[in-house]
Amino acid sequence: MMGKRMTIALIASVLLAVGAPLVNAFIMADKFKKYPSFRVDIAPYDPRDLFYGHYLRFQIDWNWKVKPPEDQAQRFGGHSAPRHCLCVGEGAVNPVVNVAECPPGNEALPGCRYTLKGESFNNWSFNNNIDRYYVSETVAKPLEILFMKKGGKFTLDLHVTPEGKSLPGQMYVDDLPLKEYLSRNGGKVPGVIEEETP
Amino acid sequence: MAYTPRMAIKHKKLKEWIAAGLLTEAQADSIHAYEEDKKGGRFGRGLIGLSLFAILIGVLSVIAANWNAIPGGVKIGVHAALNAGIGFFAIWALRQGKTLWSEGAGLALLGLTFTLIILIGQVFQLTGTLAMATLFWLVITLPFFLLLGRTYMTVVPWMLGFLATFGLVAFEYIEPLPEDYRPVFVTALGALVPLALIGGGTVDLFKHLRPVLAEVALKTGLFLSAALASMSMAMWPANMYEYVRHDLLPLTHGFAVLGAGIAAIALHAAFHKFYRTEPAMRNGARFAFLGLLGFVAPLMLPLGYEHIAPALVFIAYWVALGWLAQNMHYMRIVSLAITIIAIRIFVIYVEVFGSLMDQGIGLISGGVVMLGLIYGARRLNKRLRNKVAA
Repeated sequence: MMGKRMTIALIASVLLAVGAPLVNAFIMADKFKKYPSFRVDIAPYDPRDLFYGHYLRFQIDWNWKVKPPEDQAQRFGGHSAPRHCLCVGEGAVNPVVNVAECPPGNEALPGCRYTLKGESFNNWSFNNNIDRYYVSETVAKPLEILFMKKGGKFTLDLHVTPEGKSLPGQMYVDDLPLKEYLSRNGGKVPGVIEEETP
Repeated sequence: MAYTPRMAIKHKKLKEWIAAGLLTEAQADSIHAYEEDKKGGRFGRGLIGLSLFAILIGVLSVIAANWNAIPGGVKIGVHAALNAGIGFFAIWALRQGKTLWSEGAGLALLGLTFTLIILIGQVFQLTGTLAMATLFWLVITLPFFLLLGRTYMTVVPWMLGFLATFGLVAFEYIEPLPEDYRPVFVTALGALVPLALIGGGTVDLFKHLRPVLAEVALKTGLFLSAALASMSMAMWPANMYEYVRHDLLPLTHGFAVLGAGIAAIALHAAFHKFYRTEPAMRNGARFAFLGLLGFVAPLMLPLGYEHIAPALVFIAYWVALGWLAQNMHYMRIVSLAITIIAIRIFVIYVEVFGSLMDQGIGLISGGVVMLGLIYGARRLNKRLRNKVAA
């Protein structure tokens, strides 16, 4: 027969296995409520993950302060993309941005509304590891076609933590939150024939 | 139960042992009944394991479908409630002495904890890596697994999960390392992880507290030792000679890893009084030492594909493993060693002559050679088995 201590230890271990992911979920939900956000355009990049399911793969279409020249060959030194920060200007939608050297610690860049941390190869690239958005399988394929081929306008809320980390928030299609866009169209993506392949 | 001729056909060994006077018919009956009972249980456990696997894949697929009709909070809440229910059921079953049910539920909780992590990542659009998700899973389920996991049903899948997590995390952390240090990091992991598993599996306290986990750790370590050494020797870098001649760093790394491995084996031997009273462990240490040498040798010896030496070293390694296995009476490893040696010899044949032959003639002669090698290997194997049996 199992002792009382063993039973208590087992119950604690089950609570840890179930509770830890829930605490993680709670922290994430809290972050989304608490931290400010701005919206950016996104452009299709390339979808589907064995574990997580269907998603749209994209790259953020940053609104560069200084437009990139024809030849973007200028690179920062080093083997891999070195750590850099992105200075985000004023504005709630597509604020002007530029790449800059990160200030020490979690300090903000002067004159910037937000300071995002990430990696950059040159003055017109910035990777904050936000490049996929999970969508329901019921609309995954038509949404992918709309995104990849039909040039639908897709935007994304980016939340910024005090440490400068980016978190993906709500996705918008034609300036409507995805859920609202779908419910307005009877749960479907209008103007897309599902047989079309992306 | 009467010992019928039908059983004698099924259990040739029992018949032999009765004839040799080693067993009485009653003892043979008991062994037969025990083995039949064990086999029946194994099938049941296998089916339970497969059913749980199907359920876990199903849960993963449902999560992947990501139906937007169900709010994220509801999905997470229902999944967490399911996990808690299964966890508490496992504890209840253990208290009732229903080991099969508690282990099955334990395995289910291990899998469902991973799917819950995945679900949370999906609902909150988290961009974390798979390595981080598996590491989080390993940490938060470890106490539950250590307290409840006692049979192969939970221990083997956990070990696979542990190795997968280890590999994913290691490869994620290799990226930020300077290029010169990446090979030494990989070499150190490949050389020392099998030794750590073998050493861990021989710790008396561990064997006493969790015998199945200790055994699985030991066998996994032995398997990894042989597999990684074989892989390393099979992929003996063709340009290593030039590489080592112009840059001594890889050679230094090789020596450092070899030194650390030898020190670890020596420490283990000293701790166990040089295996004076444990001859089986002495053979295990030799097995581990050979694996270490086999894994590191390609980094230290400047031999290329164009030489036959790498193939001969590979064959010598498997001859040594076969000899050790024969000493330990592990006849399955002896068979494996003979088969691998035969395949390597065949590969030498193809490497030397394959490109010069017309495709058809090459395949026919290759097949004939392979048949000859298998025939020879089987004969040798049979002779060795008979020798051990005698």
